[in-house]
Amino acid sequence: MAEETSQGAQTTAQLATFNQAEHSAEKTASVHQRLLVIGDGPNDFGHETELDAATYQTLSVLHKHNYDTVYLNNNPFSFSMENACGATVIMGDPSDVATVRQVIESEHITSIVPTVGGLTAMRTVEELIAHDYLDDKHINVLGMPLTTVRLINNPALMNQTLRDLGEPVITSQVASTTSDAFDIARQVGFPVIVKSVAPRGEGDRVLAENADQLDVALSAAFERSRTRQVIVDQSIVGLKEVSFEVLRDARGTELLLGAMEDMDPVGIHAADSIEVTPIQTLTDREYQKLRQAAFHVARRLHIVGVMHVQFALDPVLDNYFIMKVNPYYDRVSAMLSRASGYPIALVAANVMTGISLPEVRLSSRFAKRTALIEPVLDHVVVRFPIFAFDEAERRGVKVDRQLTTVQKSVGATLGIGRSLEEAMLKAMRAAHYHNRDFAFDALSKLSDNDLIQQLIHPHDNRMMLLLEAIRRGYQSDELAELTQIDEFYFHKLRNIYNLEVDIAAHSGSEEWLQRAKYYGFSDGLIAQLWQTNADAVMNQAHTAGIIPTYKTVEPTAGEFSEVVPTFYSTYELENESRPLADNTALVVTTGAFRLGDGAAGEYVMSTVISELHQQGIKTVVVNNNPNAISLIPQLTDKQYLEPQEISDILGIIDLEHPRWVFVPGNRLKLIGALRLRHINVIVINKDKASKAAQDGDQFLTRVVYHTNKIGVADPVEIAQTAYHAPTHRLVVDNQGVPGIDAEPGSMRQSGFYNTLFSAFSGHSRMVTTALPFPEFGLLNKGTGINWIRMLVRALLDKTTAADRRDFSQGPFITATRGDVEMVDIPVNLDTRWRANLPLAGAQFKLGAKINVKFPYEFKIIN
Amino acid sequence: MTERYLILSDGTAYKGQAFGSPATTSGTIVFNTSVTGYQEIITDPIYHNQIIVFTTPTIGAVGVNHESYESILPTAKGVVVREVAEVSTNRQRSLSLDQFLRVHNIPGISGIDTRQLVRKLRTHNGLNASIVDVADEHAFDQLNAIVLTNQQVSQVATPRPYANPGMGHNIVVMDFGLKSGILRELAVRDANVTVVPYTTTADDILNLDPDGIILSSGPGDPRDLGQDILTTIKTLETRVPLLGIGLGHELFALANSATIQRLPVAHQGMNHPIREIITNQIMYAAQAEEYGVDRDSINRDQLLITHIDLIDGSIQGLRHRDYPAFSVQFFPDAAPGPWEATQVFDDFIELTGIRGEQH
Repeated sequence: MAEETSQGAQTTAQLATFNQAEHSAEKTASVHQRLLVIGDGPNDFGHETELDAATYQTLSVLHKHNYDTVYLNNNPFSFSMENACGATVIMGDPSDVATVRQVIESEHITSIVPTVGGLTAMRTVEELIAHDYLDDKHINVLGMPLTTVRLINNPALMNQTLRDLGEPVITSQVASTTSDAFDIARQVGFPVIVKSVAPRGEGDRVLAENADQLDVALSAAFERSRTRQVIVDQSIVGLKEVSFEVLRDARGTELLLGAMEDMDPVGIHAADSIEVTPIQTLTDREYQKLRQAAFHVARRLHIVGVMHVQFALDPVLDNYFIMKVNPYYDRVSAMLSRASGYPIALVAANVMTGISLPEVRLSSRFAKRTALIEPVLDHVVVRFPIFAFDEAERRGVKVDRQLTTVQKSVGATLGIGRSLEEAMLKAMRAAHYHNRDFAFDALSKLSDNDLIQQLIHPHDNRMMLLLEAIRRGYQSDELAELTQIDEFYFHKLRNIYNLEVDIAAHSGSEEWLQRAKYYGFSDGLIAQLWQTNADAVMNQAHTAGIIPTYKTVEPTAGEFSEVVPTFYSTYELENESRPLADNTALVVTTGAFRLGDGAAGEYVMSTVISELHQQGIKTVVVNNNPNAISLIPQLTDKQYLEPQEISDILGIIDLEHPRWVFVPGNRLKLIGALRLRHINVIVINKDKASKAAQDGDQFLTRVVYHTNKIGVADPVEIAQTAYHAPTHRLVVDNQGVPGIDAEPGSMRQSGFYNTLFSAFSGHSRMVTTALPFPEFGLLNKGTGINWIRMLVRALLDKTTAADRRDFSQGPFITATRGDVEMVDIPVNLDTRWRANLPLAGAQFKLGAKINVKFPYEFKIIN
Repeated sequence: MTERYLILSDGTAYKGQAFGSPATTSGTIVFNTSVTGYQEIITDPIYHNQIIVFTTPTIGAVGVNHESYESILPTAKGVVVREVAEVSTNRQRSLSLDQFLRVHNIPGISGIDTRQLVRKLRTHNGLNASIVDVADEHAFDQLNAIVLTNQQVSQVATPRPYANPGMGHNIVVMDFGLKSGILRELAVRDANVTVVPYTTTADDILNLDPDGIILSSGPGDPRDLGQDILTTIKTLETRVPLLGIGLGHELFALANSATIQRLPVAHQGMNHPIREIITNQIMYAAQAEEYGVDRDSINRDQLLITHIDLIDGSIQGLRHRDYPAFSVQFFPDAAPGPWEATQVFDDFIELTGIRGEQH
């Protein structure tokens, strides 16, 4: 331990010395700009890989404009840290002000980029401002003035600013004591919303309908607040929730990037809501009013980049409230970018550096000046949240499935179609692996009383509930009143229900099969209605020539010939997707995040994609997660925003004829189905994270690389790790663990495996499994060698001499740094889900960080 | 659900579902990329004799509202869309888009691959189309035999003058197919408005003692309206502040000896950046244009280009060098459309104010 620490210190010292030398030359280099991009830190609730994606795009833009850039992060699943487009990467905690100050000083930073690190980065910058540190050092923040940064984490100040602007905000007051808070609640009337001032971590908004609930909410909110203060808001539960995303350049040009409406009313966290873009239920007047308001706010806050404003709209009284202002890249930016094909992160990065919107040059794929066109869609996109309550209940833990102002979803899918019905059904299909979750008769046994209760207090399964209510004859206007959901959606759901009835009544009918497909019904659903199996439906559709047509996702609704290579399927006249080339790989990436290793999966599969590209192979990706880094157009030659059921994948294969199909190892059914059809599947082996280890569990592992393609002893040990949940540590070989031997049964495919040994009972072997995806983060970040890329090369028979040399030099851990630790970060699932028992263990984690004692420069051999 | 067909003069037929009126109609087919504002678009008189394709996949979701009429009697010839929603939001909850179109004898057709259609329309300009029950040879013969009138303005513009009183500036609007948005913006500014037929003479207009004159938007080719109107405009612009909008802009250009061209592709939507040259500001506005001012024909001694569409380079605004007269190709009344464009009315009122002070 001591040895490794000193090594870390030594490196930092070297860095410092180096910088000292540079410091003496500062006079001549004082005009030299050096940017610090603050990283996103560990993945968490509502923080998937969208920020990593935006960071990668931002770094590439900064590189293109020859900026000298430093990127600070400690997220083991960061793709950008390993593909930093020429930026200097520092391994260190971006949420720790001392670390950031250290980096600013040692790296001679002149400007900070806070807009791709989410709330973490905004908080860090705010703390730097609070101590006048940035002013003293003459460091500026790109994207917004310091005064605006200050507002972001101070809702009271923000409200005051907005009110001064004449923009309506919710009556909102700060309380420092419980009795003050109760006074406010009595004054504005229940229900009220409680949130923390300057919260640690993501701030929650909790609805309190009575004194008891207020009491509970207050104690939690005071606890989380760094200033021991809470905000009590007048409740606007039930209003229509919409988000507008605008872009503004330094010259003041403003552009509406898109808008999204939540099917669910205010009162259900936006991330838990079913969201739709383009907006369906606003009149032009309402739409333009909110567009104008969003511009107004962007102008006042001097935003140079993107900003998302969340509104609560009261269509009856024809007024609105501003609920949230996010002047940085977030999930709404990611969603709208995927939905329209407008490259939001790229344009925002350009604009942030001072380039005006008319001067922004996009790739030749886009029509000239597309950056200046307000995106319009000729398709509908639905975002559907994923809840992982079942995983808790399978562990015998009871959770509260009711949806509230606190986010409970762990991921999301998107569905794109040419009708709301189609988009909705596709999003739901992508969200549910199992058809049983999505059976039309799933709720037939629910009592009417329970049905009404759940209509008023919706749960995660509300979509099926609404369909059930329609089935039982509830009218659209009654339902709209009970649920506060716009009547339009009940017309659409009724349409789905009517289709369901008609399809069921026409078993085997080709005409109805065509119609079902047109409205987004999957083979599985049709099979349910026809009481047959999905394969039979798929075959019938195939024989009848009912095959998907792929349409381009582009921002001009067909007005211009944009050759954006992003597609979704529908069943219409024209197919716009042409097969790429002979040398194509289709990569199926992670899909919607559930609990566990979603971010790690995206990181691994994106690295696979990147290496395929490196090898001169055309890449096609299929995914439906709006936050997925693997979907950004910079990484692949072609993107399909589609569900990942077998028929979806086969439809794409029929068109593209890929030479390889890369699939993560957990998609057993898909792998089986593809192999059955003699499709060349290459599996990226994986196993579920750490066997659901509980906190405190301990074991040791040896990580080996098994392949018969590198011409060295096989398997090769490449690292040992010690696992004392929640900490994973790379260790040098001194643990006295028995050596590994090949277990032919468990290591069939080329790939990485780990053998687990009990840390007790004399290091007895427990099990050998494929290496869980999160461990790649530790391995790559810890050794500075990109093992994923090496694996891809081996799988393609393209192992290089350098790869072989690297192997012969093991063990690798001593070759670079000593002690590298990856810690699963705690997620407050228990409180979010109101679990009756603690939800502990790696299975319920969402992110991790690399523990760093001193920030150091991270380099990786790709 | 009744099946009907959309047939085009290039010989193609699209099968879809009928909504709105069951009538058989024909017209020029154009597409509009606006995401909101279907009611305003359908009721805008510029769509007289036209079949409108909406690229946005669903219309009808916000019903039909009293505040979204751009004319009381819409005369569009048809509506083509992927999906139509049957929602009523008026107080009687009795007027869905479907019913509205029935009342006004406008047929609609849904279930169309509008993306494929638009990709065709953007390269085949000026196609005619019909919405018919049967797509047989007879239907195509009928379509091909059709001669569409070039008298659109006289068919939609008011035949006699009327007043829309206010306490402010005295504005005369020449109606070439006026949309309500223009009157709404003038009402917001409390103007005292008289709407006159487009055939009204310069003397009759000047006798109303206007502080300003607006040449309204309207349908069709401005060159079909004849020389008399251009002479009238030429007289008026020397006497009273003047604003031309849409067709009115094209007439203003013609009156000042510029020429007009039919655009290779009609552009209808509200997402193009428009640069105001003098301030270098970029704004967005509703646009619906089939004709444009020919840049090379502009006599720079008389006219100044004030606004440019940054996407297609089209001229979006002109100003007279010698008189307080200007014009915009786009629709500054923001009904539907972005609100920043309404600045044009402020500019106009300011101009009339200057004249008011000279009295």
